[in-house]
Amino acid sequence: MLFTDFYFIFLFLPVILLTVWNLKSRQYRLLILLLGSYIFYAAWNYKFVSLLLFSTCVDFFFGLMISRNKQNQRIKKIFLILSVSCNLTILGFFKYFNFFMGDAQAILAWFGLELEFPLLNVVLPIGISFYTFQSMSYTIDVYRGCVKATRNFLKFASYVSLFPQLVAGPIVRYKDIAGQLERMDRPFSLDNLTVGLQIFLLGLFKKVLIADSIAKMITPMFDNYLDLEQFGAWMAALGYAFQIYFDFSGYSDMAIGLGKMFGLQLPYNFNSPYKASNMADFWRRWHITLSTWLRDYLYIPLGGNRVSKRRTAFNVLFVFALGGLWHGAAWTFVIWGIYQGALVAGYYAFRRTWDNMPVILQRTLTFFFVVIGWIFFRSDDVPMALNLLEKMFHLPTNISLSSELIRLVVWNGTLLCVVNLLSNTNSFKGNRNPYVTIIFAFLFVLSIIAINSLRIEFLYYQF
Amino acid sequence: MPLNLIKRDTNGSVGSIHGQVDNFLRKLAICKKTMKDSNKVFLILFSVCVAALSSSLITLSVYVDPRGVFGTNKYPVVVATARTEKLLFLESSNPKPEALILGSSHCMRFSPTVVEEATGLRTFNLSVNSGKIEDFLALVNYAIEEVKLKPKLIILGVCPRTFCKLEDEDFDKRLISNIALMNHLPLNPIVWIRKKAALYFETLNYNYLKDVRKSIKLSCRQKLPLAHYTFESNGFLAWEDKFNEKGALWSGPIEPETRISGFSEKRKKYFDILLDTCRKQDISLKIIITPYAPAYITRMDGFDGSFSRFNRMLVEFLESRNRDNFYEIYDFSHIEKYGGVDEFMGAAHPSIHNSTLMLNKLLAK
Repeated sequence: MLFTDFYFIFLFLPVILLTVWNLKSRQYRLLILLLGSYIFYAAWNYKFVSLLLFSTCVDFFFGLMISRNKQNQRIKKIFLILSVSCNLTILGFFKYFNFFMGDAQAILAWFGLELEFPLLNVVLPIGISFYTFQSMSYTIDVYRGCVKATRNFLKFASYVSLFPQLVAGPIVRYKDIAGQLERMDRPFSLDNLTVGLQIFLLGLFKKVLIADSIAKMITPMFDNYLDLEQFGAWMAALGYAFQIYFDFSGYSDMAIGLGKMFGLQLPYNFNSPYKASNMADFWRRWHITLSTWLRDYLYIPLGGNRVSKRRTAFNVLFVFALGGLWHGAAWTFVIWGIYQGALVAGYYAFRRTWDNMPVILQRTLTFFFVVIGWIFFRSDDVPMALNLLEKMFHLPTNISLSSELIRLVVWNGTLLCVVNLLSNTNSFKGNRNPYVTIIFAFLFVLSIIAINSLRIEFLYYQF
Repeated sequence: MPLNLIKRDTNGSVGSIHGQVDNFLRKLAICKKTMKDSNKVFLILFSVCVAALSSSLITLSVYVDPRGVFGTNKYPVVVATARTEKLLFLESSNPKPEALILGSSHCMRFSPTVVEEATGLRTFNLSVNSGKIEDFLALVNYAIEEVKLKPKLIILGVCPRTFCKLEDEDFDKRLISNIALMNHLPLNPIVWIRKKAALYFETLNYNYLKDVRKSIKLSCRQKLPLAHYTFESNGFLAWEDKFNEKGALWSGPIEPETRISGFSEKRKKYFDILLDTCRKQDISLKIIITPYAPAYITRMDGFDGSFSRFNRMLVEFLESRNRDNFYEIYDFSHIEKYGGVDEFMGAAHPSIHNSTLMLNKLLAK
C-alpha cells in the first residue's frame, strides 16, 4: 500500500484514525496502531511480515538482555554484537547477497576462475534498510545507556513498525518516540489532526503534482539516454534533482503529517537542502535522519574528527561509501557515496577558502556538485553514468528544443526558484484561513486526478 | 519573614492578580475555542470543497461522456473501443439484425455478409477485443433488453481463454468502463457497486478530462457520434495486417502471463446463463472453437503441451453442457479441421479469407 493509494487515503487511514481515537486505553491504541502497521506492510507482501516480526523480536530480546547485564561489559557487548549481526545478516542476505556474489564471480573470472555462485531469486522486502537501522539504533542506544530497554513488547513493536515511517523513513530513534508512545492515552486533538492533515496534503502535492509530473518528462529521457544531447542531458539531470527531492521530501512530509494525526511528532528529514552553501551543510539538510544515524552510530565510533586529518578524511569517505551502499546494492550507489564523501572531506580541507567565497557562489557550486552526483544515483550502471557525464561536459553543440524539452526547462526554472526562495515545510505550522482551505481542497482534487492518471511509485521505497 | 513579605505584597494587590489570572485564563479559553472552531471550519470547508469540486468534474465527464461509456449521447464520442463503437452501430442499425456474431478479436473478420447470404438473416458482428464469456453475456443481454433485438441465430467464437480463470485475466477494463454493458451482467451487488464506483472515480483523470474538452470542441464542428470508425456499420473489421509476421506470442520467450492455468467456475456459470437466455429466446446457437496459427500451436505444444490440453478441456466442457444437443460445436482449433489456410495476423487472428472458410464450413452444415 502506498500513501497515494485511494484505499489508503479513503479507507485505511480514516478507519485506523477513528479506531485509535475512539479507544481510551493506551495499550489498545498501540495495539490498533501495530495491527494497522502490519496490515499496511502485508498489503505489499504478506510473506515479509514475518521478517519484520522476527527483526522486532530479536531487537526486543537483545535490548532486554543488554539491559539485564548492564554491569557486565563483556556479556553486554556480546549481546550487542549478536543483535547487530542478526540485523546486518538479514539486511545483507536480502539486499546485498546477489550483489556481492555477482561481483565475486566477476573478480574470480578476471583471474581465470569460472565459478557459478548461487544467486537468490527473492524480491527486496520494502523498507528493510529503514526498519533495520531503526531497530538496530535501539539496541545500540540501550548498550550505550542512552535509553532504558522497554519491557513492553507492544510499544516496541509499534515503534519498529509504525506505518507512517515504516517503509521509507524518517528513521526514528527510540528515545525520540518512546515518551510519545507512552503518552498514547492523551486525548484526541483536533489541532493535531488539522495540522497533520495539512502537512500530509503538502507532501501529497509535492509528490504527485511535482515529482511525478517531472518523472513523466525525464523518465523517457533517461530510458533513451543515448539519444540525449548536451542540453537535454543537463535538463534531465536537473529534473532528476527536483524529482528526487520532491518525491522523498513529499513522502517524509506525508509521514510527518500522518504521525501528527496520531499525536506523534516524527523527526524532520529535510531542511531546504538545495539552499545549502557547502556539501557538509547539504548533508545536514538532506535525509537528516539517515545522516545523523550514520554520524552517531558509525562516524563518531570510528573516531569522527577527533583523529588526524588524514584519518578523518578516511572516516568521512568510509561512512559516505557505506551510506551510498545503504541506498542500493549497485556500484553506482557506492560511487555516489564516495563522491559525496570526497566533496565533504574536500570542503573540510579547503574550508577557509570556500567560506570566503560569496554565498551565492557557494550555493551555486554546491547545487552543481549535487546535481552531478545525482547522475550516478539515477543511472542503471556505471557506463550509463559516464555516458551521461560525457554528454554533459562535451563541448557545446547546437541546442534543439522540442516542446517536451521546453516544458522541462520551464519546470526546472520554476522549481529552481521554488527551492531557493520558499520556506521549508518544517516551518509550516498550519493555516486555517478559508481561502487557503479552498486552495488545499483544489490541490487535493488535482492530486486525485494525478494519482488516477500517472504511474505513482516512491523512489525511496526501493531502498 | 519572607512569608510576611509575600502576604503583604499579595494582600496589597490580591484583587488585581486574581483579575489578571482570570483574564489570562479567559483569553486562553477563547483562544482554544477559536482554535477548535477554526479547525472545525477547516475540516468542514475542506471536505465540502473536495466533494463539490470532484462531483462537479464527475458530473461534467458523465454528461459529456467523451468515450461513450455512460450512454448520455449529448456530445460526440472521441475515443471509442470496439465495445462502445459496436454498441453505437447496433443501436442505429435499421432494420435490426436477426443474427449475431460474438467472439473476441479472433472473430472480428467473420463477415456478416457471408452469414446473410447463407441464412438470409440480417447479421451484425459484435466481436470485441479480448472478449470473454462475460462480455458475450452482457452483449447478448444488452442487445435483447436495450436494443430490443430478437436474434434467431448466434455464432459464438470461443477459445480456452474465453473461460480462463479470473486470476489469469480478470474482466477487461473496456468492459468495466462500459456502464451500459456492466448493467447487463449478473454481478454480486458489492462487486457491482465497487466496480461502478471505480468507474465514476476513474473519470477523474487527465486523459479523460482532455477527452471531455475534445468532445466539447468537436461538438462545435460535427454532429456525428464518432470522428473515425474502425469497423463497418455491420461490425465487420475489413482491415488486415501482414500475415504471419506480428504478434506478441509469435517469437521471443513465452511469458507466464500469456498462458492460462485453467477455467473459471464463475465464467462457466456465465456460459450457463447465456445458454438459458438462448433457450428462453429460442435462439439457435453455433459455437466455433477458433483456430490458432500452426506455428504458434507447434510452439506452445513444444513448450508444455498446454494448447492441446486446454483445447481438449474446452471441447469436453462444451460437450458436457450440451447433453440436450441444444447447440452445435465446431472444433476449428487447427486449420486442417475446416480446410483453412495459414493466414494469421499474430498468433490467433485469422484473415478474412480464413474466417470466411470457417463460416462456409459452419453454414454449409
